Formats: sequence, structure tokens, C-alpha cells
Amino acid sequence: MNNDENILSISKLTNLIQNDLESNFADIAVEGEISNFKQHSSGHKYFSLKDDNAQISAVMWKGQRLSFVPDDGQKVIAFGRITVYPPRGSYQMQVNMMTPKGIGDLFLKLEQLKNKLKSKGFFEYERKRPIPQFPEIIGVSTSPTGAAVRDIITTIRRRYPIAKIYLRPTVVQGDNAAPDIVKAISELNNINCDVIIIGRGGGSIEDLWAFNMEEVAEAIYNSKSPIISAVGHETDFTISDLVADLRAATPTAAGELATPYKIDDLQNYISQQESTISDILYQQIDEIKLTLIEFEKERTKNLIFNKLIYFNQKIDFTQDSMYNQIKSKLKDLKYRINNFDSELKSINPDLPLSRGYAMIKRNGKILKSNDKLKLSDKIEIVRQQQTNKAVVINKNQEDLF
Amino acid sequence: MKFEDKIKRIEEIASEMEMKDIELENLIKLYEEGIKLTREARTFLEKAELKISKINGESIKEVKEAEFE
Repeated sequence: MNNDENILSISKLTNLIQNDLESNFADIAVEGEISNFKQHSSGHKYFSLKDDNAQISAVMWKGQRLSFVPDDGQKVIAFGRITVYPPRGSYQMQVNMMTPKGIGDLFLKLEQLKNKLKSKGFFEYERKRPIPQFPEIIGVSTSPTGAAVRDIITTIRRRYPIAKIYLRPTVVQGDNAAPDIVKAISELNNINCDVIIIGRGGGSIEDLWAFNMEEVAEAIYNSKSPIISAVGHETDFTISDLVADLRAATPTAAGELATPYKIDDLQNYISQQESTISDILYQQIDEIKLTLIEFEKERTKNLIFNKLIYFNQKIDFTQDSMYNQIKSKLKDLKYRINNFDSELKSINPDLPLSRGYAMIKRNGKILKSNDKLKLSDKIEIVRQQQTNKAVVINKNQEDLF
Repeated sequence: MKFEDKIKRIEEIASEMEMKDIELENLIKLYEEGIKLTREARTFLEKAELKISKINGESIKEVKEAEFE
């Protein structure tokens, strides 16, 4: 021990003490009596905690909530940790929460239960049931008298009167409260509520105590229907709030959380959907019309094209048949010309001469049957082989020659 | 059909109707179904009136809201 290396500096010693104390007493609860309580103008509170044989300095920083006004001589339970202040070589308790003795016991129990349930996974976010968007049956477990039930009902009627409320009048305070809340949750589960609100108005920690009981936590955890917990007001926090699927700060807020949609918004939404559906119908019909018009255009184009081909063919056929007709007409004409030729031949005046008949001409013209010959008319008698000149010497027919 | 299912079906119908190359016959059918559902939903909301029942064990009894005022 005389070895220099074993000699500690004060700082080093204090540092070792600090490490030891602060790690071994990081989360403690102590019971004691308040003495020398002083609230500094900064908001920090300085006091001592003592019992018959010992005392310890304590500090509570500004901002730590206290639900009572501490006074010298008051028995309390303080929660916090030990800290060392090296410049003075002193240690003190830094208090995070403090309650009057009695209530302090409740807080201890509460902390223990909280830790137990937490380790069982009761508070896990992943296991929380979703609150339905369109609840048909809303179960309510609370006192049938008072502001809480009225606030819940009024809020639901205002926001979502299409839901049915099933109210299970429940004892929410006193020794019978916890078993009645458990029974209420079970009865509301039996009628298949879409969501259940459990709760009560504000009060002291003792008033709200049933909602910190393990059996109530179990009932909430095992509920089929999702549960909204609305216990007390704003700053009150209970185990029920932690286990429930949703925590509401007030009964009115619970009514709102149980009805995600307001009826007015739904009405607007449905009207909007109605016109959307009509709009889509007209748009799509216009679209279909356009397609039809395109189709019809294409079809007409094809029709006209086919007609054209048909007409072209018809023209070709007609041309052919006209050509044939002309050809046969021509043939016919040719034939008739030939015929005419032979007919013409048949009326040649020379023809009778060959059979021995004669022809009489006067002044070079052939005399027709009714031409009259006068006395002394000079005529020519034409036969096939010979033509002779003669003079009429008698105008009587018998005297002609 | 539950109100919630109606709302969902109406949304489904709107998106089905919007599909490209939908047949006219199908379009009209969906439209008629959609309009029928929106009318039903609207009537349902218009007629809505909060009903409150008290339950106690097996017994369920309808009560007036005024009881809580």
C-alpha cells in the first residue's frame, strides 16, 4: 500500500465513486420524508429525503411533473437515480417522479405491471387491430351517467348516425369496476361490435385505477373487436390506454376515432362518384363512337373499291359485247350488200334481151309501157345482137310495124 | 350488401369502366350497377338516424338519446 502507484488522486477517486454509484443506482425508488423543500426561481426543486437514521439530498429539475404540492414532513415515494457532483464530493438523488406515500405504492405496482405486460408483448404496435372505416355497431362500455357517455353519443350522432350504439352501462370506479369492465368487454364481443370504446371521465389515479388492472389489460388484449381506450383527460395515461388498439385523449376524441368518416363527407363522396361514373360513361361512349366511325369509314372505302372493280369489269364486258354486236352488224351489212348486188343484177334491163325480147328507145331513152309513140317518131329497136333505126308509120297499135 | 361493400364496389365499378377497349355492353351494365349502388347508398345515408341500445348480459333494449342529456 505504500507503493506510489496505488495512490489515487482525489479526482480519480471521485471519478471511480461516480462511476460506481451512478451505474448501480441508475433506476431506484425510495421511500422517505421531505425536508428543507425549496422551489428555486429557475423552477428546479431542492430538498432532502430522510428517515429516522439517514438522509439524502434530492433535486427535481424544472419540467418534471408533480401531481401534488410537496411539503416538509410529507411521506413520499421518489423515483429516479443517484448522481455525483465531483466539485463538492457530494452525491444526491435526481428525482424524475414523486408521489405521496400510498399513491406511491400504486405507482410502484403500476410500474411493475407495465414492465410485465410489456415483456408479454401487450403494447406491441404490430399486434394492434385496425379500427374499421365504416363501423356498423359501436360498443360503448362506460358509466351510463355523466359527461363521458354524453360526449361519445353526441359525437357519433353528429359524425356518423348510420352506426348503431350498444351501450353497456359499466361500473368504472371502485372495487367492482375491474370485473365489470372485463364482463362488459366480453358481452360487447358477443354481439360482434365493429369497434368498442371503453373509458370514463377524468379523476384521480385511484379513480382511474380499474383501468390499470391486469385483468382489464388481459380482456382488452384478448378482445376480438378492436378497442379504443378513453380513460380520463389528456394527460392521464393508464395501462388500458397502452394495451388498447387506439388511445383517445378524451371521450369526444374516442367518438371521433371510432367514426373515421363523417356522413357529410360520405354524401359528397357518393355524389362525386355518381358523376364520375356518368362522366366515364360519356367519355367511353364517345371513344366507342369514334372507333365505329373509323370502322365505318374503312368499310365504306372497301365497299366503294369493290363497286369500282365491279364497274370496271362491267365496262369491260360491255365493251366486249358492243364490239361483238358491231361486228355482227357489220357482217350483216356485208351480207345485205351482197344480196343487194344480186338483186341489182336481177333488175338489169339487158337481161330480157338475152331471152329474145327487144327494147325501144326514143332520143336515146328507153320507152316505158305508158309512153305514147306519135306518127313519124324516130326510134331505135334494140336487141341483144343488133340495133336498128325505125320510123313510126301508123299510130294505131295494130299498125305499129 | 353492407354499406362498406357498396362503397368499395362503386370504386371498383368506376375503375373497371375506365378500362381501355371496354365493350359497350359491359360498360352499360357497369354503369347501371354503379348508379343503382350510389342511389342506394345515398338513400341509406339520408335515412340514417342514430339508434342506441342498452345491453346488460343477454338483454338488449333500445333507448332514446334524450336519456343521456
